[in-house]
Amino acid sequence: MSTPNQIDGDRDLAERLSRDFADERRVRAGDDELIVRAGMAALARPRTGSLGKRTALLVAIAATLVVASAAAATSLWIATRPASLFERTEQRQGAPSAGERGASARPLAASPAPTTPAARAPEVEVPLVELHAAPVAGGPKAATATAVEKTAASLFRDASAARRAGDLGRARSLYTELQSSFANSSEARVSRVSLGKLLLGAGHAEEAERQFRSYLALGGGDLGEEALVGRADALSRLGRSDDERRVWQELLERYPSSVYAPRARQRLGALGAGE
Amino acid sequence: MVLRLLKLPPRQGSPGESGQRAPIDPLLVLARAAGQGDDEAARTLLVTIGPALLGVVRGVIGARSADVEDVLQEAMLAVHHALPGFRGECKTMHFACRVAVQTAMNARRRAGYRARYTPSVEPEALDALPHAAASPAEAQSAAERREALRHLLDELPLPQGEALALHVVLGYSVDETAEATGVPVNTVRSRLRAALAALRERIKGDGQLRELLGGPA
Repeated sequence: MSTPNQIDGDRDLAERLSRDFADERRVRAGDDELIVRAGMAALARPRTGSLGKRTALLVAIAATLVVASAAAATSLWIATRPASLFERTEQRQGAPSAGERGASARPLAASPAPTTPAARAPEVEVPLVELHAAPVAGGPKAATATAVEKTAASLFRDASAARRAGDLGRARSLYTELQSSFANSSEARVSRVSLGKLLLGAGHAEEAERQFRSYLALGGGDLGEEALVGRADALSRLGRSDDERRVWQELLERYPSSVYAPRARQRLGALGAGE
Repeated sequence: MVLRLLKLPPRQGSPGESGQRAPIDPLLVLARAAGQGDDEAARTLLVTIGPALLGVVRGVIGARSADVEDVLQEAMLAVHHALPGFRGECKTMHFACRVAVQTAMNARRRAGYRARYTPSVEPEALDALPHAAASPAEAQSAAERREALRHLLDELPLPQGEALALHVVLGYSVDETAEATGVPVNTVRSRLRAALAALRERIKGDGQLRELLGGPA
């Protein structure tokens, strides 16, 4: 049984610790994007039978071993079996061998990759869609058949994972693929902010600004503050002070209680002083 | 004596000790739709409760942890998976936060935070301090107290750890903790007493912690 002193001590201890943790619960800059990204990635994962990282790794290793074994067995069988009736017929008719077929297919695979609309299209060509519009199931997916069918959700999830893992090149590639293959999906829209931040961090301010601007051009959205801040930062790097000032002012008008508001005022003060 | 409300102000519709009024839950309709497979509702719900879940994750694994986004994603997935079984016994937000607490505690244990625990705090942890009034020394002390409590969460039996996390890390009142965990208020008090007693023992055996907490607890 606790004594009154112990109970008072418990209460004081709990209160002090709770005060300590209040700091951890506060809202920070970038939280909106983090939440939307995590939510989309969570919904992209299968609803049942989700795997932990370790389990997924073990399954992947096992699958790789099985596939490798099957491939080795198949190669051995092909190398040692007698030619089939089909192959003998092909050879008689002068058809190319399997190796030749592969060689002839290579130029197609090596043809220039289509440039992404997001990377080149002017602002007016940005498709206007609602943030919560359902991903377009029959969108212009990549023409090549892949072993695992890519969806807007899977591309977004993979791009986010690559970004977190520090593989910025892959993340950028996947975000770009998402935007070109599933342009009307909500994932593609959110990815504009993610990719914008990625590009800004990598020093590509002009491309970053285009990503943020295209997100904002779609109207509304949960990441309006993030996109405005990103665009203002990009404009700052580009030395476009007037545009930057307008963006910070827009942020303060649209989100007066934003966590970015103090920074916006600070920048406006600095930009004003510079005039 | 009752461990009194610590952080959250009294809410409209809180059942409190008497438990007479049904709690008002603005998220219940959304949660039910999401539980029935409505992806749009699920997305809206996750974005709505996201800040609270993020607070849970940061509280349990540390705001500066590199795993915050992964664990948040895991917590959101866990909430999404759990929604079909949610019957509205408590508020959706409490339900979701409880799931997030369990997810984050499991993530800590799985990641071997216990093995990696050190009482010192990385200097980067001080970057995120929101209070200009807090001196670097105070900030360091608070960060070390948080780390000590997180370490304790790794060691406590899950029901005690869960109660302590909801009450101290999230600032839930005892009533709210009881509502979220679906156990009687007195059970929550017992669990909190046991958890805080364990923390006191830890403090007694650690001179640095004792000093951080202002003498023997």
